Amino acid sequence: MVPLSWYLSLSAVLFIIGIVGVLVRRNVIVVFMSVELIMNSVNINLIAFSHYLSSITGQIFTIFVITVAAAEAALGLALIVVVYQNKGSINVDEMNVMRW
Amino acid sequence: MSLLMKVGVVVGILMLAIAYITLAERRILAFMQFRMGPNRVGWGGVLQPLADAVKLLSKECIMPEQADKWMYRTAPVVSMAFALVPFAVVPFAQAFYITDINIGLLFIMAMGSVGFLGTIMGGWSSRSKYSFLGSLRALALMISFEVPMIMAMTGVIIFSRSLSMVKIVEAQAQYGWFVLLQPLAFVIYLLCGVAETQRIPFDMLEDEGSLVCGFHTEYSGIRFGLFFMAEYANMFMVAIVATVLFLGGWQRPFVSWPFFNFLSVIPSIFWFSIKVLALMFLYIWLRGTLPRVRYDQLIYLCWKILLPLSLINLMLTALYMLWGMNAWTFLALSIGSGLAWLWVYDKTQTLARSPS
Amino acid sequence: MAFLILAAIAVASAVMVVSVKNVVHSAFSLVVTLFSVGCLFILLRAEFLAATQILIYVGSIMILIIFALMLIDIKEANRQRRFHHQSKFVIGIGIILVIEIILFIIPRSEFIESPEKLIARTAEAGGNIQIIGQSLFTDFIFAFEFASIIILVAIVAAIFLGKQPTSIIKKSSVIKDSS
Repeated sequence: MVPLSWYLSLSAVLFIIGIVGVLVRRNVIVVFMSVELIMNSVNINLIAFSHYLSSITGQIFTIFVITVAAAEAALGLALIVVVYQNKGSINVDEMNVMRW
Repeated sequence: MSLLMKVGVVVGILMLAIAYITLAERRILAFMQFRMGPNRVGWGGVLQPLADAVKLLSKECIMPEQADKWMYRTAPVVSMAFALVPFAVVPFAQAFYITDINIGLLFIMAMGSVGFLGTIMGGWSSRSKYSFLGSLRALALMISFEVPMIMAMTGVIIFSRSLSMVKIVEAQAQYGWFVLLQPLAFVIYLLCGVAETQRIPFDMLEDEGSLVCGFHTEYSGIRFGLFFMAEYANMFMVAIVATVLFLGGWQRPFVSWPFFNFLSVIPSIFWFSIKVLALMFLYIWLRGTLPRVRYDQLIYLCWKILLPLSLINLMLTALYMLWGMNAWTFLALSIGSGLAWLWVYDKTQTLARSPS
Repeated sequence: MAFLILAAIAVASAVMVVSVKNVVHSAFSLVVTLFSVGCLFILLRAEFLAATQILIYVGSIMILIIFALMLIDIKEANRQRRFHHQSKFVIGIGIILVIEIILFIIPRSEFIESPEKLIARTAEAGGNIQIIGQSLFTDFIFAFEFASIIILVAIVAAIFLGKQPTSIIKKSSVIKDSS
């Protein structure tokens, strides 16, 4: 059996990669994908705990995380497409106007 | 029988079936269109699939210069691999399946959606506008049609109380075939299946008239062959899932009637394959008779007709389980409400079209 | 062993996601990451979640992302500079954190045996799906309904955003002129 801390380390590594992606990349869709990566690392944590603590709650919570991720994808991508149509760019640096 | 042997048997039979369904399709289409069809190789064209295989294997694989090399190469493999994986959970006959997992149906749907990425990869990496448009259409089509498809399956799952393919088949010994209890879901599933496998009335991403060949325009040789085989494997998968969910899987007809007990002499694999082949014939028949619908009509069909109908079916099924109403009442209700929705939809369409 | 392979694939493709220049490549490497995380869920005996992960993340969220990528001029996006100018700093911190994890968390692995309680309970309830369904519709019914409302709101908002591009574009073109 794999010890719990390995799963936790994996999820921490994925989390860090996600955070670095959010901070470093300029393309907003890559930033978006990094956010998905962060959510996934959280899912790993929740399910690992659910398994090792013999409780189903972690898995239930993961379902909600996935739900929210789906909602976020639908809404976020619609926003990105609208922004692209307006500004002609999906660069994070250039999304700096407060008001259209 | 060891696992490896089972896998070998399943894959071997599947490959043969794919090879010969292409021949059958060509011959049947030719018959429907008053042509001869391929009848030169072997007796009546029996060896035609073999000749095609040799042709595909020996042709040169041409790669467009601008293509994204890695993705161009992996796309057909992804497509084919994820078309084959779902066959692992199919109960082909009584007690003949590679494995029975408790999430069987969900597994099939998940693998199907991953396999779709192969299509998109192929379309995108070719760097050709026809391929690109084809894969764009495929994306929109797939997102749309998966929703009513899963909704239609849910009705069956409520009855069978399990996602395991074997348990679903076994549940139909108790209830009778689910096509009798879920006729709406069956029709919705078949329509969605035609759309998901990109067959002719709904084959938006291979629309020869406007897209040359869709996502595999730039593919040739065995890479094209892999896409082609994946497509037919997907077709088989849709037919198999329809058989397992709605037509009783490997069970003989009239399971609960002792009068027909003599039918159980015939092995269960026969019933299974005859049902699957009948559905495949239905698909070929559709291809031979129906013209292609327009793209917007197809999306409207999905969101405005199939999705509400599947929601109606789901709600009625839930009420049936809750109140335990008469099966005939339930049947009448589901068909009646389906027709009622079609009527309402038709009314709104005429209202929208009439000048005001 | 299976864990190590899957974890290595997941981490490698996650690194690809944030570092590759081509956006579509990073989308497809995210698919690989999500798929291997889904396989990890099977190791943790969460079969339903594994299938859901693959069906929803790979089958719809990634498809949506690729759809959005295709609506956007990728060549233009790829031509631009990939990273912010502070990126070296951030990457440095990230590497330090990863080294910390390797040095401090992994050696402390208390070898917790997988408890048999959940597995036994799952078998008693008739499988992973049944037990999830039972607690989802009893203990977590409020959260469940709330999640469906969130999804509904997101759908309505997304359709609203997609429905009227012309008016917004008109407004924005005026602003572009003034700015």
